[in-house]
Amino acid sequence: MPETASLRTRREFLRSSLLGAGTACSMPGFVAGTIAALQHQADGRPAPATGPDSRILVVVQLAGGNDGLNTVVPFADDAYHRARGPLALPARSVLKLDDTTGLAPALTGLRALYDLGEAAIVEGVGYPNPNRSHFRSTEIWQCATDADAHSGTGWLGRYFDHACAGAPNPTIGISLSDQAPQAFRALHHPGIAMSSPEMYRWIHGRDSALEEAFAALNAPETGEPDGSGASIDMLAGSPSASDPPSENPLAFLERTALNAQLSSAQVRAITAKAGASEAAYPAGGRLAQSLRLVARMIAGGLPARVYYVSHGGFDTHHNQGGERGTHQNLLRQFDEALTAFVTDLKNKGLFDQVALMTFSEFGRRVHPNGSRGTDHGTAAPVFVVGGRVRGGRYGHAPSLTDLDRGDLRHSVDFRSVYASLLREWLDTPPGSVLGRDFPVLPLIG
Amino acid sequence: MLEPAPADDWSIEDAAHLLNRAGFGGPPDTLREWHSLGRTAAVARLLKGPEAAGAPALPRWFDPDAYRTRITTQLEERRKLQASGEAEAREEARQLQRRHAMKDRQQATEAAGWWLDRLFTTPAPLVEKMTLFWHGHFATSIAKVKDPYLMLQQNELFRRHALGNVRALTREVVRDPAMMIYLDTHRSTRRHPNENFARELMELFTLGEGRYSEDDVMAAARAFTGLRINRPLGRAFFHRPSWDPGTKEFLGRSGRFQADDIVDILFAEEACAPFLARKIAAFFISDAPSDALVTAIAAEFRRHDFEVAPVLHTVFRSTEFYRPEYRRSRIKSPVQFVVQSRHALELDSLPRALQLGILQLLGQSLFQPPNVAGWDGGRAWITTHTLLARYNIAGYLVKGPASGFRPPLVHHRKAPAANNRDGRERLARQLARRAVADVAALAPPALRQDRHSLLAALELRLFQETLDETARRPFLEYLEQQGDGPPGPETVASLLHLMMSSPRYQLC
Repeated sequence: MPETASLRTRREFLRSSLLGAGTACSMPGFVAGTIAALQHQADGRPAPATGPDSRILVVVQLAGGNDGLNTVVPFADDAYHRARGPLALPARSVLKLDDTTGLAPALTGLRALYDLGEAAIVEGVGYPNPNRSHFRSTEIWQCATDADAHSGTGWLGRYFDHACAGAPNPTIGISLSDQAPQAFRALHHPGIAMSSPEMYRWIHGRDSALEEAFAALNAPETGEPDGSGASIDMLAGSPSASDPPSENPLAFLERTALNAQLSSAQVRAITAKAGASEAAYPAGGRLAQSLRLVARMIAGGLPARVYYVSHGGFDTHHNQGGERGTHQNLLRQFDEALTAFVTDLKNKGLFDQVALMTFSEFGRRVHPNGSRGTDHGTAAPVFVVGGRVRGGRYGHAPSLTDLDRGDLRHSVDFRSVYASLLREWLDTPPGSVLGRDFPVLPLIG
Repeated sequence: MLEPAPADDWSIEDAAHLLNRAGFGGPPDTLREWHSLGRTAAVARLLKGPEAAGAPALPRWFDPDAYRTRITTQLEERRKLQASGEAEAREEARQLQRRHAMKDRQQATEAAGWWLDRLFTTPAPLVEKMTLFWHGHFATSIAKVKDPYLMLQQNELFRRHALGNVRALTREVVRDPAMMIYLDTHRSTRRHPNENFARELMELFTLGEGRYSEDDVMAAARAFTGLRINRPLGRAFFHRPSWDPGTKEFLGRSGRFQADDIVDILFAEEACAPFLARKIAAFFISDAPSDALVTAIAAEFRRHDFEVAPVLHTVFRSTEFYRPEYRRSRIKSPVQFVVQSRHALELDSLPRALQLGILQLLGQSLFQPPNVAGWDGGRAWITTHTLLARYNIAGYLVKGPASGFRPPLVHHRKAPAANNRDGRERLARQLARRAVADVAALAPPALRQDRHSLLAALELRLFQETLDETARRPFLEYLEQQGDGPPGPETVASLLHLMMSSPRYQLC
């Protein structure tokens, strides 16, 4: 039995270990060890892999609806130039993948990764009966439902619940944002959201009595007057393992408060030792800064399996620009951040542990609107990048002549991409997360 | 379901519940004052409507003449520079644009600060609460509109119609310049109708998803063509040549519809009243209102032809509204958290830069909803990160900079005080003085003589209830560890921070 066997209650656990680490960040090994031991102890299930063999998924949301046609460009298709007019990218400017298709001029870094066989380009990704509302289509992607179905949980949240069953891990997923994405919504293990590690703790001065009272207040011993007999598997799960929809707001808050205490100690301990030999990231730009932090947390061995970052502004209803302008600038910011992140991971020998996936709630209409922009459309490309990703082209470029009410038809269901990553990368049966099976693409080599 | 509660069954906890939900709470003295009115008079006072008295003065730049001059000048500058076509002129144009953009950002910050202070000082809290509701309902963001005058003009529209007729408000929103810019109606033409507004009007403002077809969206988009903005006046007008005069098939009806026809047809739809009722119920009563409650409120909406005041009158007087399971069952929005905390700690002159920084940190910057669906609200406000942030902000509100927390500050001055040493020191002094609760006044020495009396008083102040023994225990234990004598102000300050650093304090 590990030394933690005597830690019988959450309160005792917090008092004796993690809160101590809160004021003395120099004991990451102890914290990590404690967490790992707890995970092993919980009814014999294997803990999510951490350490050098762990596999990590980084999700990059291109929020607002990225114009797929001006991202992976059918530059040789007359129909493209006819439809897009001044918004069309000329053949000379695109980064050619073959005789008919090229990447947007801003995507030089991605192109280099593609040439190295480390980037997969999945074309025509969408879903049947596409919804053109940002909020609804984002929800569909985040929750991985059919277009006419709803779910209270997100696809990553369902994966977290699956991966954490019996082995709670509050930092299973980390979103670099003030608010967690819908994809993180889970019944029991929603991961965490934070804008920076420094802010991620309770700041109270140095009053140990206060600290103790705080711990008691935020890790209440529900239903057990003196706390004896509480089991370790209550650590981060809901106290009664009840169904959170019926969980009252106070219980929800108490559970979140406990997760906050646990994960705060962990994240700070781990980010405190990161920092050496870091690649250069573009100054400014939220995406680059977020990815820098992700690289640090991966290097620090945080047991997160999923990181989520967002890059917004793709809702280009007017003045979208062609070769230059708003849309290409957005893609360039993405490309520069991605390039720095990949370089950083390679320098640290971590690139084989990471797969990065982009997505956007939809592409844009084929024809521009009257404001030199494009309205909400349907299918668009998805990129998957990583050391063990099988680079190349997947799916089919949507036809520009066989349209569905002016919109592109998808050739790959987005849930096929999820299913591939779940099965091939995260060792999780896709059906348990997506509700049913989808064709798996050989994205992982 | 919404039968009126007996008039004599009215406790101070009831008054606190009403004031928390229909407003932003209040310090114990205010609670006692509203309680003394009795339920009927208290509800009547909430519904009396706008009162200008006591509201902070509108920003000076919010003036039609000043706006017209400014826009006209800006347009002229641009025309002149475009006409000249020289590289130097283009650079000058860029410089000018940057300066205007900076001024816009300053004014946007000022507008948000102004509203926050108004939320705190208003004698008509329900009007402000409904104004906030409409801001979340007809969500419009300065991030795209980029014109603080138009945003504040929309805010005044919401305030004017806060308790009025929803259909009338919706008709106004159709031609509200900020909304038009936000959802692209001002660029929609008969040749290229823009569907953005038409879709959101049905999905998010009136019916809900799935109650209309793609063809209905297109038909409505065609009806909304022809609306243009006279920018110097900050008003919409109808430009008939841009309007699509053709026949539209819309929700089973057919005609040469214009904007108001579409709104009227939507409000005649069966789904409209329940849709609005659910949002009202979720905002005022419960995050997950029962279908029966929604149906009852929807019936009130129909009975009163979509007038808000009589519907809320019924709700706030009903036994249903005061049921124990609804008490402290809603998670405070960041705005509620800030304004209610100001009341609870009696922070009358909290610097705006701090308030705005807190809202940004907690994810509810006024005039900047994340998207047209508004803020998700409820549990979405709370993550491990925002919960810790709330706890730390509470420490700052009680102890000021001495708490050790450094909240982000959002300034509106051209040269932010934080940019030079003098300014920084001045700001630090200001925060140390004004962002600190007067603990000695909140808990005078006489109150500190007895631990249980002290705790009971602070519980009413912060939680609007008296805690049972178990819930009180962590606070009592903390006090007991501080020694035998009456606790000093510093101990009480720590106690306040502790009480606010709890799951319970996040509820209202």
